[in-house]
Amino acid sequence: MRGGVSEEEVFGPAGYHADPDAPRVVVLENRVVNVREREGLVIEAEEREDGVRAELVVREGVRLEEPVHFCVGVPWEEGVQRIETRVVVESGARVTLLSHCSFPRAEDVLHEMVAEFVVEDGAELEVRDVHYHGERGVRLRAEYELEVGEGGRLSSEFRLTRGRVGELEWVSRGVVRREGSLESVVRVMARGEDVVDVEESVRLVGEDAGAVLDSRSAAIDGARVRFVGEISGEAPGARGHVECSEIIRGDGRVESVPKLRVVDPDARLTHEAALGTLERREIEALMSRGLSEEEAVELLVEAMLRG
Amino acid sequence: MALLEVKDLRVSVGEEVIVRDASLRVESGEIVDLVGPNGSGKSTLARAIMGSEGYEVEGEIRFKGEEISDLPMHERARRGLTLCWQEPARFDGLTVGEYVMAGCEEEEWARRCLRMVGLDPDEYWERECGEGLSGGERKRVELAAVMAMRPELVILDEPDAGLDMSSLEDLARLIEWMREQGSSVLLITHSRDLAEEVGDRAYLMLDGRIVEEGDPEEIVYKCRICGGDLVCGAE
Repeated sequence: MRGGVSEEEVFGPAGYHADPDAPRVVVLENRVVNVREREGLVIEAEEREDGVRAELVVREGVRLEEPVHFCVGVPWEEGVQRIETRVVVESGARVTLLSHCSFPRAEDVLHEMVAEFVVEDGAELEVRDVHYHGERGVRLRAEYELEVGEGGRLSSEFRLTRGRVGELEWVSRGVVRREGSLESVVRVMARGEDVVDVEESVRLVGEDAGAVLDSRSAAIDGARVRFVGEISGEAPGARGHVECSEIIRGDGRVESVPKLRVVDPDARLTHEAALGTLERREIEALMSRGLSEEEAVELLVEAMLRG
Repeated sequence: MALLEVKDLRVSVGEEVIVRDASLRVESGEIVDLVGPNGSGKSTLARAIMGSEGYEVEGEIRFKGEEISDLPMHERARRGLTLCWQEPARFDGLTVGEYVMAGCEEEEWARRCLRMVGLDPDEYWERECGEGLSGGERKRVELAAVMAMRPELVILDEPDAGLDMSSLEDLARLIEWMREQGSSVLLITHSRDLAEEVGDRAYLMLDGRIVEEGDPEEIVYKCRICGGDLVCGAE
């Protein structure tokens, strides 16, 4: 790693406010700089030439009250970081993962993430993933495999609403078993040359399994956003809902595609999509309070993406 | 020097001329009524003074002596001019606190402004402006947001319309309080009681033109005999 840099300096913009004693894995470029375990939480991290492989396991029945911080970033203008991660929440266990991915000075950074989340029977995993890509953006390629066991619960939230995106390619595939549930929330603000391409798919393979895919994004001033949310109902009583809400501003472009596939006749899937522009009178009302047009748009879009 | 001086203003949208040769002024510390029938151009004039998009504007708009016609809306606001919009937008997702603080740097003052319009800030601060408020509450929040700015001049565009305040006296007191806090007011209203109660002077607008200036009672009377739809009490 080049030179010394503090965790706070790198991860602050991504909302990192961790207790210094909190359980965590911190990765800067290809170095594991901080690992702190807890009883019942096993973390194995292995450095590689251009990244890190990390495995987090929450042992059976262990219910961690403290969130676990998983922080990855590149503090330099250029770099490649490949993160391979596997999170296993064993039967009856529970954990919240706060993920901070930060590239505050990025000009030419490639960040690749290959992740597998396994939520075993009756387990719960909550993931809150906040990204900050600086004012130029990064190339982010992420691939997720999600597996939710019987009665398990996986709730994830991805936010990239400050700074620039760069290029985001995101593919997520999930499988949910009997009475399990998966909820995915994606919030992205794209501006200028930013390109966002998100594809999420979930198979509801168990009886009474459920899933919600909820995407909100803004494409501002030339940015392009594509969101595909697909749920496949393959078992009796499966319930799924895809919700897409996109705001376009300037010459932004948005493609929003909810896809529902019903295999079992007793599955019930719904979708709701809304594409629109910001209301001029909302922008002007804020401008009449002294905000510039850019500030007004930012405030309104942030408010829209917060929900 | 007048605080606001509008001279020979012509406002059009495409081929349609909505305001013709309008002139008016507001002195510092004054409350000035602008009355006239529906469709006479009052709100268009207000938005043109504020710098709203979509209008072609010719003529002079001077604020504190400075010609502001070419300034964008937010620059006019930063100089101390604002507009209380007749129909507040919904602002889905924005909280009341965020909206009121948009033009204000002191949270305590913003909270006080909410209290002045009858909203408990502890109850409303985190509430969403969109789904969390009724139309009447949204109007009150709009008034509070305007007051929170401490503007030197506020254009109140029909503050009584859709407002759920218990009485016109409450609104009149609020406008007087704005003056006490250092804001001059250009009041657009269909309420003759409000116009007469708080106005120092008044203008009558008919068919896109400002045709009379005078004492509020006299102007209200002329407005009524010209077919103006002024009403008693709050609308």
